[in-house]
Amino acid sequence: MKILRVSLPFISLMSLLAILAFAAMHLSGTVSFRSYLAATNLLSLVWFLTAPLWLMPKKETGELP
Amino acid sequence: MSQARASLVERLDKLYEFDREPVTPDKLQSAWKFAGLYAGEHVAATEFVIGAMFVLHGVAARDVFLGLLVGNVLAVLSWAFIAAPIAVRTRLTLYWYLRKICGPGLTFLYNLANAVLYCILAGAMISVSATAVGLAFKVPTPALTDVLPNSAGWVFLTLFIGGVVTLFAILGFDKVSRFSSVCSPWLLTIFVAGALAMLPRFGQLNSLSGFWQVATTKIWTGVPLEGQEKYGFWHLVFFAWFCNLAMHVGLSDMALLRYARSWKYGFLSAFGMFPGHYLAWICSGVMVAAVGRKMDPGVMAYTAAGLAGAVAVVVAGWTTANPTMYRAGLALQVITPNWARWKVTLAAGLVTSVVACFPVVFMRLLDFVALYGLVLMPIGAVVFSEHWIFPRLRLKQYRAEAENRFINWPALLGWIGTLAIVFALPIHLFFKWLPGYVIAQVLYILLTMALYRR
Repeated sequence: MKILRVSLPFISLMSLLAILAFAAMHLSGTVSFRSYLAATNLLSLVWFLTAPLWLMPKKETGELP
Repeated sequence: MSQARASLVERLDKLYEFDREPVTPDKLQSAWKFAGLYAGEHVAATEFVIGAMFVLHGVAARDVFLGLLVGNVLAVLSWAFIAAPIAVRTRLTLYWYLRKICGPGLTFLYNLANAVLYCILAGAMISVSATAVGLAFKVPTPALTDVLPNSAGWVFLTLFIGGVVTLFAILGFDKVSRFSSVCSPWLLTIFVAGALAMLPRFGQLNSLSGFWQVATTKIWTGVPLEGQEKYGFWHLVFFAWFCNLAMHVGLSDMALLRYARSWKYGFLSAFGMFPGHYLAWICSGVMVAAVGRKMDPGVMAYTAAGLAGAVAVVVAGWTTANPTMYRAGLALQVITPNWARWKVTLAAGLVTSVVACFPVVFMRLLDFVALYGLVLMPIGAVVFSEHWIFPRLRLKQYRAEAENRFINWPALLGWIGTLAIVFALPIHLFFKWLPGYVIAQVLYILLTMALYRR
C-alpha cells in the first residue's frame, strides 16, 4: 500500500514530464512528429489511469468552494 | 407583495445557508491549498480561444509577452489588495456581505445577472468543446465572423454536448468537479507540449534569438486578420487584468479567500494567473499560427497533440462548463420556488445549450469577458466603498441590514448609473471598467449622502 502511495504520484508526474520531453525532443529534431504524437497519447492514458487514484480530492466537505 | 418579498428572501437565504456564519479559525486553510486551488482553476477551454484571438487581432510579440506580464501582475495585486483584505476581515462570502450592504432585493438582482452571464460563459465553453467533437463527425466550425449557426450539424452537436454536460451536472456535479482537479496539470502540459511541437513548423529554431525571430515574423506578426480590430500593448494589459474582474475587483473570490490565514494569500493567485493566463495563452497563440490563423480550437489542439489534444479541448470545456452551469442553477433557484435542484440545473442547461449554438458567443469571447466583468464590477465598488471608505467619511455602515431595507437604493442607482455612464464613454470596451470603478464608488458615496445624509 505504501509503495502504491509513493509510486502512483511518481508515475503520474513522470508521464507529464515525459510528454514535455517528447515535445522538446521533436523541437530539437531528435524524434519525429509521429513518435511525439504516439508518446503523448500513451502517456496521457498513463496520467488518467494513475492520477485520479491520488490526486482526486475526497468527497466535497462544503468547506472550500 | 410583502409576503412574496419575504418568501423570496427566505428562499434566497436557504440556498446559501451553509456558509452563513463567518469562517471559524479552525477552518482556515494552508497557503499550499490556495496555491493548488488557484493553479487548478485557471486552465480552461477558453484559454484555447483567448490566446489565439490575440494572434488574429494582430498583437505584436513584444506586446504579448510584456502586456500579459503587466496585466497579470495587476490582476494578482487586485486579488491581494482588494479581494483578500475584505475577505479576511469579514470571513464572509460575497453573498452574505452583499446582503448586509445592499439588502436582499439587490442581492437577488445581482444573483440573476450572474446567472445569465454564467449561462453565456458555459455556452462558450460548450461551443469550444464542439469544435473538437465536430472533427470526428466532420462538422465544420463556424467562421470567425459568424453570428448564427452555420449548419444543422453544428446546432445538433452543440445541443447534444450541452445535453450531456447538463446530464452530468444533474447526476454528479460533485464527481465532475473533483475529476476536473485531475485534469488541470495534464491540460497545461498539453498546452505547452502542443506549442513546443508546433514550433518547428515555422522553421529551424536553434537559439532563443531564433525563437524571437519566429515569434515576431510568423506568430505575433502585429498584423490583424482582415476585418479584425488591431490590439496593442494596453489592450493586452487590460485584458489580462480584467479577465477575472468579477473575482478580484468584483469580490466574488471572497468565497474562497475567507478561508485564508492572511490577506497575503491573495498573492497566491499568481499560481493560477501565470500558468493559465500567461503560458497557456502564449501556447494557444503558437498553435493557431501553426494552423494558418484559423480560429478552430479543435483543429488547433488536434494538429498539435493528436487525439490527446482533441480530448483536452473536450475535457477543458466540459469540466469548466460543469461548475459554471451549477452556479447558474444555484442563482436561478431563487426565482423558481419549490423546484427540485435537478429541474433548475436542467433549465440552466437548456439555456446554456441554446446559447452554445450561436458561434458569436465564443468568436467574440474577448468582448464577452470584458462585458461580464464590467456588468458586475460596480457591485464590487459598492462593497469596497462601504467597507473602507464609509468609516473614514463617518457614514453609517450596513444601513440596509440595520434598517431591514429590501433594496439599498444608492447601490442600485449607482450600479445602473455607472453602467449607463461607462457605456457612453468614448473609449474602448477593454478600458471602460477602470474609470467605471471610480465612478461607481463616487456615485455610491454621493447618493448615500444625498439620500440618507449622515
